[in-house]
Amino acid sequence: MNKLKGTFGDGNDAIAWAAQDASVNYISHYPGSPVNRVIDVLEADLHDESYIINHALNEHIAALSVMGTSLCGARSLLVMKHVGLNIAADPLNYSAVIKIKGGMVVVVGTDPGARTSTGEEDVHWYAAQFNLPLLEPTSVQNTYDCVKQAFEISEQTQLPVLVFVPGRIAYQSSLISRQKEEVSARSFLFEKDPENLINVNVRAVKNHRKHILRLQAFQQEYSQSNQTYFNPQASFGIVTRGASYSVCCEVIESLGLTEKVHLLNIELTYPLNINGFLVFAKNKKKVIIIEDQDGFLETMIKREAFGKVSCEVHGKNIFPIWGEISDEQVRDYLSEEFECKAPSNTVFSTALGQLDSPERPGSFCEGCPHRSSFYGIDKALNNQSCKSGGVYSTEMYSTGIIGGDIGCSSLPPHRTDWLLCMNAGIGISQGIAHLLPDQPLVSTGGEGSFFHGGVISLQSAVENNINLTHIIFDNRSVAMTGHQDSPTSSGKTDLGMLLKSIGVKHIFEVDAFVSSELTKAIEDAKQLEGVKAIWVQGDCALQPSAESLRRYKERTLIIHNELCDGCSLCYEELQCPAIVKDKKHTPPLLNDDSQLDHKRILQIDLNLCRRCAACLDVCPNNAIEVIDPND
Amino acid sequence: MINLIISGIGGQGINSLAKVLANVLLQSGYHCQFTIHKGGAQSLGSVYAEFRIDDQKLPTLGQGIPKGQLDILISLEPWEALRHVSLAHPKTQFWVETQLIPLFIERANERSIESPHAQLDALPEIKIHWESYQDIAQQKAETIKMANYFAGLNCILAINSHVNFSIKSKPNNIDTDLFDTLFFKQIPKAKKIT
Ligand code: SF4
Ligand code: SF4
Repeated sequence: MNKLKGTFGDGNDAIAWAAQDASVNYISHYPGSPVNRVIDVLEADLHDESYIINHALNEHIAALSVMGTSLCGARSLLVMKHVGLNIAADPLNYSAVIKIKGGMVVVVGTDPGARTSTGEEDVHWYAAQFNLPLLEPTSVQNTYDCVKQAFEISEQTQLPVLVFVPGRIAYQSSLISRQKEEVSARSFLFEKDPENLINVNVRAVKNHRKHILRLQAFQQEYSQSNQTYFNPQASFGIVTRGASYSVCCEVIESLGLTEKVHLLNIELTYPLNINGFLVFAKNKKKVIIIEDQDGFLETMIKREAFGKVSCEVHGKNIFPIWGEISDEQVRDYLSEEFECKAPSNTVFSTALGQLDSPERPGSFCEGCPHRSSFYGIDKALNNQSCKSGGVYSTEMYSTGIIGGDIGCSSLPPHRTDWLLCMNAGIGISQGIAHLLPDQPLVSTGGEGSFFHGGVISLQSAVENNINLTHIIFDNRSVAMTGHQDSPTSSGKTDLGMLLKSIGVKHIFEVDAFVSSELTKAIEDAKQLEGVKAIWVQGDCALQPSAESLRRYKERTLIIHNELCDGCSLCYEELQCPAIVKDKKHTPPLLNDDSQLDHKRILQIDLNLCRRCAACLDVCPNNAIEVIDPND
Repeated sequence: MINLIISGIGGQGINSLAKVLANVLLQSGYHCQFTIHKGGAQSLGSVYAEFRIDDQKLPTLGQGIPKGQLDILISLEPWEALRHVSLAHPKTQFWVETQLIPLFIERANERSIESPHAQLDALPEIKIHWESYQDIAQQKAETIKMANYFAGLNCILAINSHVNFSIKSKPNNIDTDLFDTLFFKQIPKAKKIT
């Protein structure tokens, strides 16, 4: 058998490689899953490519900087996740009228099913709001093709082009074939252009009109967007976009419906050129639009095809607008429509489906500074710590409020009281504190989100004389999305001075791995008026400093079982995964009823332990010992 | 076609194993696509890689393995094997690490969950091959981190024994030496086996 050639890549690789092969000149981004790896790939090749990478501190800045480079004629790529588009939306509303010179492509990682996000917001409606072309790839290879194509379209229309890549394509891998475009070297120049760039009054309306005309011309011309599959004679039609295309194809094949169904996939979902659909729908009795989430394509089709087709057109009246369209949903629907019987395999597996494994949502790593920080916060607020790890129960909260932000600090066991958007820690807390000054409350957030927008929020609290304690978890890394540098790890920003200069009067610096320090700082801050900041310092366990590495190599930890009284604070409340029950005792011990002995068998698994010593401060009986040759 | 899942938890090296396996398959003349599911956490969450493998060009396939079509499950942890049983059929091969990694909810409420071992053994028609990847890794490479290597060898074994009834023509058996070579080439920090 012949060996096959090609390179495996996932959706992230496809985006990065397409940008390289389209000779991208400038990239700006804000890290976010599912497209967090794009920049890693681009950065790894930086030495033999000639592009510039801008690591923006938020999406708003990323979008504006890319508009700047594109105006100078540079091919520019902007990358962010779906919720980032909210932050970038203000500038992107202007991106069409300015008549960019170099191709500008906006890649957005979407997340139907909320695999890696706090929400599954459907950002499709932004395409219609910005009035920008939107391409939706169906596979990894197609992602590569679409991103390259997007640069072409962008230069042709002088409009930025959106490409939406959902999580299931971003994390899928298959062979990608690449082809480098021959693009001649460019020289970059900003040309003054008040007609398009001073966008105000009458000119704003004129520019808006010119923008729409460019978009409409493109809508009429661009014909390669529609692909049809299976039997053109069939009276039953399915329309797909993005990831739902391959799901439908597999189900149609496996149910043996290739003769009975005609499928149309639409790649350019905005602006929609309806002609392809009208031709497709001509001989149909029934057409069903199968897409993830809100029914954007259905809305566009119904808007453009109104009064022009005679068949039934269905969509979100049948499929849910939440979550991903699953194989099972499509299978159930089509087997009922065509009265196919479920294969026996499925019957068997449906019976097995009764079994389930409890959710394992991940947690703070061993040696993570956030674990002991939350332990310290709970102690200060007298909260019952979350004994039910990962399971949401109202029991776990008492009166003290912990304002939560996005980032690793928001990982299970979810000790904060909310987990919503970036900057919600300081933001929501400040409203509550303003209204209820006596409510015990701390707001939290990592340094990543502090620089993303938190600085301004905290300054706002200062300006409004709000009585607020904000805790900044400075782990010197934007850890959750792949350990990008933050302004504190790059060493370019002095966080202490910054806090002082925006008017924060009381700044506490504490060691993240000594939770009692944090508890004390919160109690002290409670006695003071105004905005207080607690700067909690401790490196991300996966981005260790030289000192953490030394400790890791040289230290040993042990639990002296004879000193341990079985209080279980380290195991059940601190919940460090490296603190384990003696393996000999599990699982037979499950039937053992002597509570005390049952607990006095804790050990530290040195394979897992990062030697952070957070457990030392937690143990009331000095049962844990750190052996460090340097102490 | 063969549908295969490798499952485990964050930190066990599922991601790197999947990438090695993809290249092994490629160089052995198979076509494949795979998806890695890892959630938002850096560690300790469920992680699994779904493979769709064939000896000819794959048709257009969705990203997930449909119910009743999972042929091989290799799991580095028993709870993470149980998680995927709803995709199985009576002939699915199950290769499962015996050593359990606790779920956090057990920490306060140990007795509330049944052991995954008993539940897996009770599955009708399915026989579980219990494995000790972690122990073998500890013995042969002095670190349980190499458990993914031994699970990988098992993937090759399972695919080779599966080809007869799943793939149309009979392609070459996959060479375990090729797996070994690519594993250490692609994961330079992996610890050598003694
Ligand atoms: S905190 Fe100390 S006394 Fe309590 S269970 Fe842990 S080792 Fe034992
Ligand atoms: S066992 Fe103690 S020192 Fe080791 S990682 Fe856990 S908290 Fe840190």
